[in-house]
Amino acid sequence: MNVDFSYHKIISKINEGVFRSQSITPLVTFRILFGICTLISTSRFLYLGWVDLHFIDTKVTFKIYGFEWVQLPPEGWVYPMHYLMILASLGIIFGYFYRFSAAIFFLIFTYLEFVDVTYYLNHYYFVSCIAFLMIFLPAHRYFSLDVVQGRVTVIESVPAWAILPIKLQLFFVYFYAGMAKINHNWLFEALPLRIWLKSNDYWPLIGPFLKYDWAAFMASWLGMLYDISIVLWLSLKKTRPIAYAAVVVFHVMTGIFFQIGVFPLVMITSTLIFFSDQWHERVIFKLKDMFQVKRKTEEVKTQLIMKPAIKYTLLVFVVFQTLFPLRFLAYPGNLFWTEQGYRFSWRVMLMEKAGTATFYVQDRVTMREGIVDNSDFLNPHQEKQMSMQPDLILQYAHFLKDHYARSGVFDPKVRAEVYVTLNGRPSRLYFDPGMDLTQWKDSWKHKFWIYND
Amino acid sequence: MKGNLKYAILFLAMAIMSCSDNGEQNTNNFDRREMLRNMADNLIIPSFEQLNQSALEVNIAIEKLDSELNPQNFNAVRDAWIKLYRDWQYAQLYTFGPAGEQGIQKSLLQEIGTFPVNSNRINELISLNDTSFINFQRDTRGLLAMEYLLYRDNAYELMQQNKNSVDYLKAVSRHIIEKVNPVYNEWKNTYRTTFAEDNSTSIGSATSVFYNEFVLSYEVFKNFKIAVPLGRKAGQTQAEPDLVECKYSGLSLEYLNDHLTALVNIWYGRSRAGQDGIGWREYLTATPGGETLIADTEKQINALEEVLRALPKDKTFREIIISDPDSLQDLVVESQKLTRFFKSDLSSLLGITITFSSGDGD
Repeated sequence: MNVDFSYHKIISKINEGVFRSQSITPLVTFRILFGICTLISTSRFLYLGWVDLHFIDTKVTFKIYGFEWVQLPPEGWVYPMHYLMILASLGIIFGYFYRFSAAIFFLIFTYLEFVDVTYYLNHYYFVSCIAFLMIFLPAHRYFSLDVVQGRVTVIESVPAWAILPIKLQLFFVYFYAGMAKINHNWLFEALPLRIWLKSNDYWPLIGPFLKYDWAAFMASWLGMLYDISIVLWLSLKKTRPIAYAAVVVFHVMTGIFFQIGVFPLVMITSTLIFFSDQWHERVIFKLKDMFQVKRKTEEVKTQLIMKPAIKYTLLVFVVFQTLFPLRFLAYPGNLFWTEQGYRFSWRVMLMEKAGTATFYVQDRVTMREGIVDNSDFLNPHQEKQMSMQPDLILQYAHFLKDHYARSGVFDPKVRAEVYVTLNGRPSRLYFDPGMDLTQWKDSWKHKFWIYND
Repeated sequence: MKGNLKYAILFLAMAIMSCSDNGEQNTNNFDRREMLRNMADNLIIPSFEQLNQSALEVNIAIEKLDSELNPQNFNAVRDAWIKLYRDWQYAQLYTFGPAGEQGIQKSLLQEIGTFPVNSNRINELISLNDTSFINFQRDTRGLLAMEYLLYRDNAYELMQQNKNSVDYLKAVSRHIIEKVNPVYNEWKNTYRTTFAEDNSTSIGSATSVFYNEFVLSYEVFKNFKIAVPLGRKAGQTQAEPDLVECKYSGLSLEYLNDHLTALVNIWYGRSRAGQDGIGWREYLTATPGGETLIADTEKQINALEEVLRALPKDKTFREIIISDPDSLQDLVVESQKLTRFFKSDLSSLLGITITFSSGDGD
């Protein structure tokens, strides 16, 4: 094979990849499927009663650093907000006031995601990112109510960069998830899969194999290789069918084994974006026939004109997505232990971690010290999450200080005895149990008071 | 070519895993269902059977007292209650399934095990001769309302003076049977299979629910039965000896021991009669890394039992709290130390899902 690595060749390749004209249909399919996912996700949330659990029956909410100002919505707003998300999802699916719908969905979804970080999931973050991108991408310029009702003119082709951000977003998710798996425990101890797969030994057919260590090792290595390279295989025409089969198998299996909700569905539908223009055109034409929309035959002259502001927004977004997951490099110590730079970095199902956190509140005049019953303030899920994440431990300590100061404890000292177990190891003290936690304020700085792993 | 590369990598992976054997290669086939069957057949169902039986016996004794109010019959009711409440210690840990919350019905623990009881309200209801229990004041009925009626100062004389209190006692007894009997029947008839044949570990599975209740019961033991009466809960400014579990009969310490025994029995998979079976311990034995946790946990169980054994026998828990609270410091410390083994290490090692979005999410 003759490969030309000359500078000009590369530049022109990139130019072609970014600016070449292609069918708009991949974006349209994506719009419809993404809308269906958010519709299912929101309905499921309502159906499972999580709206009450997360946003109404809650006494304490934990914040993402820098977003402490995000407060719970007034009780009466919570359900209407979810109904609005359902309407916005429909708006996205049908391309009805599409940009407005995408913006509404993005804002409400992200706001609710930021109300309490204990419910943080990478796939919520993924949905937020995609919803954000969708606001700016012209996914409604074809086969949409906006076109039918004349709010926008129809276009059939878009420059590649109108679709690229979604592909890049998927690349970031998979690639960083794969990179995070390149560590000793994952590859050479098959942890935590060794623990997790064994507890799934009850599944028919595959279950009996899961109790063997080799199954966990195989799953660990294949998982890592899959994550790192799947976007490449999906991008190449030759490997695409088998790669997509792998996507389906991988996500269905993880969906069965782990409690990850709609995530498999989101990924299985999103990765279709890598399919060829022709494939998407066939899908959209089928849909058009189904809905008896006339296929447009006359030549469409409208050219997509992208405002510079949108161009730069997309560019900044991509740069952010590239760099933000790498911030953990700035912190010393074991990332899994300290979790500094852990979130918003596509670290997906990487560790089995749990903690038991006992807080003590002391009155500095009477010196009387009492033990906090966490269940007075937190639900089991919040307590579980708080007990192993240092920033949440700190937030809770400050909450306790304020709470008990109000209820008459003089200048409360709050200390905590926190034991954390990582990947099934015997639990260990997380930091000095005698230390007054309220002396620390959360920041981007390294939390040096956490014991070394 | 690419295919070959994949196989090469796969082969490499296999090779690596075979050298990383750290002596804990484990292919033990632990059948959770065997553990659950043991729990159901030797621990849970016998406990509810015993509880149901004792509740009926108390009721018979109370009817006898109702027909003839004399000290002998009164003491017979007391004795029957002592047995009933002991049986309760072994049944209260299983507040799931038939004993769990269902609609407006709270868990069995809340329905009949609430303490402290509201003695003023009970007296009000007695004077009104109101035994309808059509309200949510669960602190006016249940096992500890019964204790109050049987053991309050001048309990017998008060009963002689006001026949209403015998009626109230009867109503409380009937209410207990109404709550316990269906639980026992459902366990015996249908729920046993539902529970014991559920091999899953995901959220809502028998193993997960059973584990959660086990941990919750330990929290009740440690927080409500020890820390609170000692005034060691955050925000308390002094000991509150009146908040012991059995203030009137003075049997808190005995029952505290029983509660711990019941918990430890689950750990060992041991029946109340002492017959050993499959429990958390055996589950851990079949899990890599389990031996360490077994050793750590049992060391701490022993330490806690030791502390309980060392408490004075001639005083009630309430009296110790009043006269020598410092002597109970070790009880707080040692019961606290056991928590993490039960609460995080066990579920983490066994991969039991305990809340909806378990693990680090996805």
